[in-house]
Formats: sequence, C-alpha cells, structure tokens
Amino acid sequence: MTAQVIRMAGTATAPNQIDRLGAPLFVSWQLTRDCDLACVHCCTESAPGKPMQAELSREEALRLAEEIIAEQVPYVMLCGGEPMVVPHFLELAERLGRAGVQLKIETNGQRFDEETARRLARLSLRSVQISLDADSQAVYARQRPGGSLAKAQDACRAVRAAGLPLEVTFAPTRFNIAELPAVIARARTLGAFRFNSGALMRIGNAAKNWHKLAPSEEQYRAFRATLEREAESGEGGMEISYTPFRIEDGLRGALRQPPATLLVLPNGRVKLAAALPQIVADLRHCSLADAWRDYCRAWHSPAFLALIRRAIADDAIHAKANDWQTLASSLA
Amino acid sequence: MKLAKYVKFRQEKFGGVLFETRSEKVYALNPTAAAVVREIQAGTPEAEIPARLKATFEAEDGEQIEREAAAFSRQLREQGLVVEA
Repeated sequence: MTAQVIRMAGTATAPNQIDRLGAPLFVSWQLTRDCDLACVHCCTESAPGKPMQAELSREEALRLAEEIIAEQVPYVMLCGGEPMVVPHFLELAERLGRAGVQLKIETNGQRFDEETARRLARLSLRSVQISLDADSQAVYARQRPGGSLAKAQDACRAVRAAGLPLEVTFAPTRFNIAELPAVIARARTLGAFRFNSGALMRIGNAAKNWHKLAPSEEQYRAFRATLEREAESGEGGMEISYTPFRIEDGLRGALRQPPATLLVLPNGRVKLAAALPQIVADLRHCSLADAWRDYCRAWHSPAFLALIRRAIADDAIHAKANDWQTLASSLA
Repeated sequence: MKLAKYVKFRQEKFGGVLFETRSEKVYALNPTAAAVVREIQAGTPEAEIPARLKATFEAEDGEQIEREAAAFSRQLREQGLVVEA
C-alpha cells in the first residue's frame, strides 16, 4: 500500500498528477470584486461599490456550490474583494460547509462580528484568514485607506472566541514592512495558528503603485531574516509560512507540478494562474467538470507554458494579470 | 480510528486521495490503501479491516494483507491523518 505525497503545487515526481484527478482538490472562489476598503496594494483592484460587471447571481453561485459538492471538491476558499459584502455569502458558506466541504474564509475583518463567527463555527471550517497589515492604525490606514485596525483585530478575537482556526496574512510594502515583528507578535497574542506572508505581488493596485510600494531589496533581506528567525523559534506554536516567497517561485513550482486548483472569478470565469490573465473556462456556460478538463488540458499547452516562463522571467508581466483574455485568443 | 478533523478523502480511478487541508498536503493512495480509508470512514474496527480487505480483493495471502494494513494504519497515525474515534 502506498501513500505518495503529491503536494498542492510543488514537488511531486510524476508530471501533471492533476490529470489523474477527477476534479479539483481546491477551488479559490472570488465571490465579488466589491469591497468595503480600497487598499493601495490590492491584487484584485477592489474598491467600495465597484463589483465586477456581471458577477454571478445568488442563484448561479448556489448552482456552482452544488456542483462543487457533487464533484466532491474537498476544500474551498471564499474570498473577494471582500466576501462579506456579498448578501448571499453566509448562505453559500453554509451550503458548502454543511455538505462537508472544508472552508477557508479570506476577509479584511471590517464587518466580521461574533454572530458571523458563531454561524461559521457550526460548519466544517478549515480557517478564517484575516489581513493584518500593520500594528498601528496610522500605518494600517495608509495601506488600507478607511480601514480600522481595531475592527480587524476584533474580528480575529471573534474568530478565536468561536473556536475557529485563525490565520493572519501580511502583505509587505514600504509603508508597513518595519511593523512585521510587531504584527507577528500580535498574531501570536490573538491565537493565530499560521502567519502567512511573502513578497508583494505585482498585480492590480500593487502594480499601479509599484514604485511607491515595492520594498527595496535591503528591506526584503531584513524582512526575510525576520520571517526565518520567527519560523525557527516556533514560539506560541504559530507556523510562519512564507514560501513560495515570490509569485515567480510559485509559478516555477506550478511548471513542475500544476496545482489541483481552480481559480474562479466573480463572473464565473476560471483563470489558469493568479499571476497571468489567461481564462480557460466560463462556469456560466460549462460545468465544473468541463472546466476542470479544460484546465488540465491547458497545462499541456506548450504555448501556455511559454507564457508562464515569460512571467517568471519578467515580473512586470504580472501587472496585466487582471486584463483577462481567453487562452485561445492569447495564444493566437 | 477515524479521519482527523481536517482530512478529507476522495475516491479516484487510481485509488483515492487523502487531503490534509491544514497543511494542504495531498496523499495519493493505491486501491488497497483507498480501501483501508473507506473502511475507516465506515467505522470498521481496525482489527476487522484486514478481513474485509481480504474479501474485497480476494487475496490469498491473508498475513500479508494484515501486515500491510497494520503498516498503513501506523503511517496514517504518524502523519496525523487519523485519530482515535
């Protein structure tokens, strides 16, 4: 009997293990582009009152949830934008969670209260991930204009009070990078089981503001040294997760072994990789099973693999990640 | 014995996959390993699993099945993929 580790996006031995799978193992689902904040580094360019055109309706989203359940996808992340601005967010989470799908909720925590935490605690929740990009309100508000650090921290407390697993994420910029040690200490105090970080992704607003936001190499060296030191300390039992460090590292891993992941956009389209604009399927017009087959097939396309290699070589290409194009048209 | 809280199993044509969602590690299982996990999910007592497998796979060497099932169960425990019920 064998149990071979094939990792989500990493070090498997055989090429394209995903071809053997009947369905994705993970669906990362952006419910909306709308958000209650307009963060200067936002990779999806989200902002208040700015949903994407033709986002999936409640009925369409629930239909997709039924497909996810039927295909036995074990793990789904609900994110955005801010997923909690979507009126049917909890209905969707409850439909998936009650069916046994493990859920990760990614939120800025601005409207995540105790009642929400209590409702989610009845489901099979893998974690709630909250962005804590600073440990002072001044720095937090500079990166997340209009945002309240106190609300984000209260959301973390509500997660833990409901007995839910908490993850904290930190996106480094020139504004906040010096606050990393304080945020790690805060995350431990708040009871996070994992602290996620890595280099700033050159996508969306971060790409537009790149020269103002991107930390210097010297800042990154100190940043990485802190992460390594904190990871080694193991203090408080909190895992420090920062690899793949750069999005290019993730793409290299995907070339070795494509992730068993479907990235679903708010309008139901399916992206091949977060850092690239290629769309491989439209879940409004095809089934999840069809989208999975098209996704697996795309990872055999030499032209698509060449696009990935270009994105690895030049991170400026990531700036076009939100200018979607179908895979067929981008290869034409 | 039961699957740990954050572990999900899905049957596949080649056998099955165990997915530990906290670490995001995926384990590909061959048909007999997948059968063991199905028995665990069904609540079959550990001691009875080899007999079930022997019947399912019409195995002649019962001792080997027993040894392999015990080794696989130990591996699942060591990896934190199962816990005591």
